[in-house]
Amino acid sequence: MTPAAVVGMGAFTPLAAGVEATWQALMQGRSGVAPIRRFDATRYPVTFAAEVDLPQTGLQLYSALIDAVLEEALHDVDLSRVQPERIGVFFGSEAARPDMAQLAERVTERRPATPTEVAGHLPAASTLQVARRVGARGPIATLSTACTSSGQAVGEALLSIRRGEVDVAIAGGVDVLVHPLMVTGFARLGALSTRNDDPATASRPFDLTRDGFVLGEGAGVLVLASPRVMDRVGSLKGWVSGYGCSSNAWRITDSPPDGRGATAAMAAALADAGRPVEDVVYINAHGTGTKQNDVSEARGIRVLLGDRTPLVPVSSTKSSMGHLVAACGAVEAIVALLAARERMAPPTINLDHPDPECDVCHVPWKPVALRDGLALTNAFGFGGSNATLVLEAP
Amino acid sequence: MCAVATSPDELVSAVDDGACGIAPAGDHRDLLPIAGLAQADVDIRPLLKRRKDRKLLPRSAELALWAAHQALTPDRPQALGLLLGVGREPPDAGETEQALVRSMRDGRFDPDLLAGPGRAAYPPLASLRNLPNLVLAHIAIQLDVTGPGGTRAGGEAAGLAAVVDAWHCIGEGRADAMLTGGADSFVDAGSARDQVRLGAAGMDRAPGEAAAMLCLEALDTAQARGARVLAVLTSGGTGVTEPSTWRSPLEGAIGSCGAAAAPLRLLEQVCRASSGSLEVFEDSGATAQIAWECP
Repeated sequence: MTPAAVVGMGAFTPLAAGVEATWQALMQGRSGVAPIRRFDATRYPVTFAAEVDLPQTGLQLYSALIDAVLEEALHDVDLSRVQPERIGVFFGSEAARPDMAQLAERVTERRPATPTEVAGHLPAASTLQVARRVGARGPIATLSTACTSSGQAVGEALLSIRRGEVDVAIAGGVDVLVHPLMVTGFARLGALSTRNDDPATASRPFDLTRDGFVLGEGAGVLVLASPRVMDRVGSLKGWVSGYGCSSNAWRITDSPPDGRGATAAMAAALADAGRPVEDVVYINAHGTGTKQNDVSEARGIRVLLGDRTPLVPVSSTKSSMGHLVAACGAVEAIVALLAARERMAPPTINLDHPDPECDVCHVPWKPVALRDGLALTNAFGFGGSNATLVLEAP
Repeated sequence: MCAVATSPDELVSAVDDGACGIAPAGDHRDLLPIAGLAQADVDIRPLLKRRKDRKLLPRSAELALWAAHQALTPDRPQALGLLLGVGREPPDAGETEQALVRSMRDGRFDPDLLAGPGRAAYPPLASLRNLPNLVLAHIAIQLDVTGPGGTRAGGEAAGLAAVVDAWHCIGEGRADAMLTGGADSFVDAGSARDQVRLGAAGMDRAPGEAAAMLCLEALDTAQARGARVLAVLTSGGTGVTEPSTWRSPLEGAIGSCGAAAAPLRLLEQVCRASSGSLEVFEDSGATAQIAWECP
């Protein structure tokens, strides 16, 4: 199947502003997890998160993140050479969380929200902001499948280019989870790590002492182009070669213990790319640091790789930057692409004692060299949606 | 499933009879300048694998599950995917308001109180129940749907966009069959207020709720297993155009139903064996279109 060319990338993460700075921070084993600064969380059960370094809050933060990643992704891309009707936008996002003080005021005073406030909080608001910013008049889609959202957005962009609907697709995602109600809600579910005494060590995917995920925020975007026009619009930075997705049909929060949904998504992605499993040299795991789902994913990877399991490094960069939820798919696709291009697997930090039930080829603390080949990135969401992308170096 | 029908055949009869499911707004009447509400009557408990699953289901998921059961015949395709359009995430059932009320001191919001009594009033399941993809998740779990899929979020075009994407999925060989459609519910007070603020409801438009689900299958596969073919989709697409407003021909009967409205119209026309096309526009400028032929 024909791949799509990556001609632009942009990222804003808790580690850093920008793709290169984020990559360097990952390779240095740094952590973007720290005590929450945006509101006073000292009396919350979880007092830390992975926040971006931006002063805005609420809807303004969503806008600022989108503007930042688009600026980076488009700085050496020339969209003027593509008809607007041939530019599509595929974005993963959920409803924006409301500013608590404003919401409280509205509720108690029964002051109605303005149309702008209502529309601005809808999931499609981010997609429309991107479409207006780049002047796109082609297909647009807002994917809202929790943690799988932007991974699916990149996949759907690939499909749209193959289908001949668009020549260029802007694909990505944004999410801001560091919000009082999100911290409250997920903490009450028991889903979050509670390592308040040492936040930088809290995100511990695949580690025996992991105790939950770390809420994060950020945005990522890839500019994809048809091979037919890529030389017209920008320089080649890599390829998105395949996309696969599946549903667990199991539980709302848990993945099936045998990892069958994960295996199905990864196998479908390789089949879509028309490549054998022997070509896989690295897997960027979803790896959130939750007890059951890390096991489920590891089992799914073992089923996929079979005898090759000890040969293919697997790491979770959520150990460094937390869980960006709707944005994680796009950001980690960028990481996987860089891994393939630089032939270096970023590490899983905080992996001191790998869980025997998560028996894959880990990359604890230090990056490892890779040979030429395919990188996979997984995104598995609440509700049981699974998405895998196949990335290749230029 | 909608305010005037619990099945596609009932929908056709209701439309032919001029039925109207818009009723006075009841408790919301003093607060909302709207014509009324169009509320469906659904009990999905007999359809659930476990009765306790119901506490996690948002309203739009109940409607969609009912419709999905009807779309699948006993000899359903085995390798099935699922693509849904929703207009908004399932509404908060008052949990946020409870937390906020407990976080007020002297008439002002106090973040310290949110950390204490406010937080205690926020139910643990609230974070999960309000995720946009919960409608899809519940259908997948209840009906064992494990193929490719996802949730398209948007406005009136989202449901039809999901149908178009499902059609592509089959055409590109990524699935043999897809369950697809749209679901939305605006009849709770918060959603109805939002619809008024967005200009989608008022004295001439009523908030409604509905779900419409179709089962798409590769034509040769469907014919080979002897399935009854109601229509053949012939073209479809999505895009962005100038902002404009689309009102469903069914709106007078069932109110404004967001992402469910266009798939419901498609279903009604297919049940009448009426070939045609449908194009949907949103205020945002997003658009979706589809064409079909009935045997």
